[in-house]
Amino acid sequence: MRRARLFYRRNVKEILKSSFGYTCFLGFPVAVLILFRFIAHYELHRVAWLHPAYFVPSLTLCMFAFMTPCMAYLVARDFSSAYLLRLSLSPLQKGEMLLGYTLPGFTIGILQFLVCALTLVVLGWIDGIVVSPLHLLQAMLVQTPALLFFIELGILIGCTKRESVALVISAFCLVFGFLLSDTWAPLPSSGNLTKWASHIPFYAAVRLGRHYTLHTSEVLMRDVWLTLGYALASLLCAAGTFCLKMTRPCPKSRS
Amino acid sequence: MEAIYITHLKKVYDKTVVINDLSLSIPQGELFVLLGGKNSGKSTLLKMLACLVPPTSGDAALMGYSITGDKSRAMKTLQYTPHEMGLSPELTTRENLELFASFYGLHKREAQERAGHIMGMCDLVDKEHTKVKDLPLGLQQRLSFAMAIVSHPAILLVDEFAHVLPHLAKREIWHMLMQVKRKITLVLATENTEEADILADRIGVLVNGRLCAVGTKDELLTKTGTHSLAQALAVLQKDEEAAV
Repeated sequence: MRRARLFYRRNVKEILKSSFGYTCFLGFPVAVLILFRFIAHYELHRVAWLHPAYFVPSLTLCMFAFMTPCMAYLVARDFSSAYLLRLSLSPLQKGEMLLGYTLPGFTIGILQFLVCALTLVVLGWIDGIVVSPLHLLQAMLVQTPALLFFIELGILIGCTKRESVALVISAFCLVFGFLLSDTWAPLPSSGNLTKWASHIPFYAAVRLGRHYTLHTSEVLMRDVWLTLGYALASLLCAAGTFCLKMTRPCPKSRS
Repeated sequence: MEAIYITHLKKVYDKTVVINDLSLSIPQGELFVLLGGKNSGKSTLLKMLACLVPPTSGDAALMGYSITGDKSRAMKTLQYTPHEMGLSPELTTRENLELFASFYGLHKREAQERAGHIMGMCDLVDKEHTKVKDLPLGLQQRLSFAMAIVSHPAILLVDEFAHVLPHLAKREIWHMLMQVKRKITLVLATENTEEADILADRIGVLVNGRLCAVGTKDELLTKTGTHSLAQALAVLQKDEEAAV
């Protein structure tokens, strides 16, 4: 566990890079929330879906989705730079490496959620709306499988593609996450887009989160199983691919 | 005891023979240079010895441990320095070294001491708090080498170490290799005959996966009737191609 912890710390540094990175990861959702709160406050009839309590679950999902390109790039670069080749000769086990890659994404994602939740509490206090911390905690818990899905998807992409390709593929995933999660534009009540959205975990995770921040929608067990199922499947795929790749971690031979 | 003992090692990729029935022994403390042109099989041989690529047939023993039968013990005896360097760009020089030392079970204090010692040895003390991404290529190569010796391996396999560096930086790296010579068994794969000339105790010439000649520089020059290693390499490559 000590080695996994050390590798985890290294990966946090590699993802966040500098104090600017920390500011972006944690400051961006807060800035968006405050901005949208003002829009929602003054233009309530037209953009009610931007109200912070409604918007926090979808915003956090989008922030979680950023974990996919981050992890994909990190893992792909570690393979191509032969860092993982070095590690394969060290006593660090494959499981410890996988844990060391997964946990930084988790930590950053949970921190982002907490920052959003805190902002929501403050904005709710200004607007005279009481937001229960227990409900926020519940919202975080039901959205955690989606975070795991995004992290593992990133690891999976990073294992199979080089940095540039991995970034492009994960950027597509990010855009799909944005489009199909009812975040930046409300999903129509019917049609192909909604049909697609119902089969992937983004909208399901947002809906689950909203149940606890707003109590407006019902908890659909289908949403719970869908997010959990995707998370588990991505974990298994990423772990399997990573272990397989680590048996042959060499970049292409020069001679 | 021989540090490396290779017997009839062979590697075939998609019907292409990359390493062909190679046998070789390298005594402890020797700096052995594997000299060969592009696609001669140097990297593949090193990766097989590092247990990163399984051989098609044959075997090799590292400090007595077979790379096919006792892979985990064999892996513990060696370090491999890839030409891609394998560093963490966002970590400082010291952090990279301490992290790697910690992976080998050293506690924080011990890892700090080991990193300090290695940085002194590799002349990296001035740059201990500089992030790797801000280091020039020559210093990154030095750090890559330092990372390899931080775990005190018995055998160090070095793949195309200084091929992209300017001459001065190359000389500094060679000086570092000379420092650890005798303490560690070094196998250096290169196509640079000057490097082989300066560093090698013995040289093995690899052409199309076959070990054509093994010996000291003088032995190779006598055998080929040439006056320089570059000429000797050219003669051996020509002979091998004629035989094929």
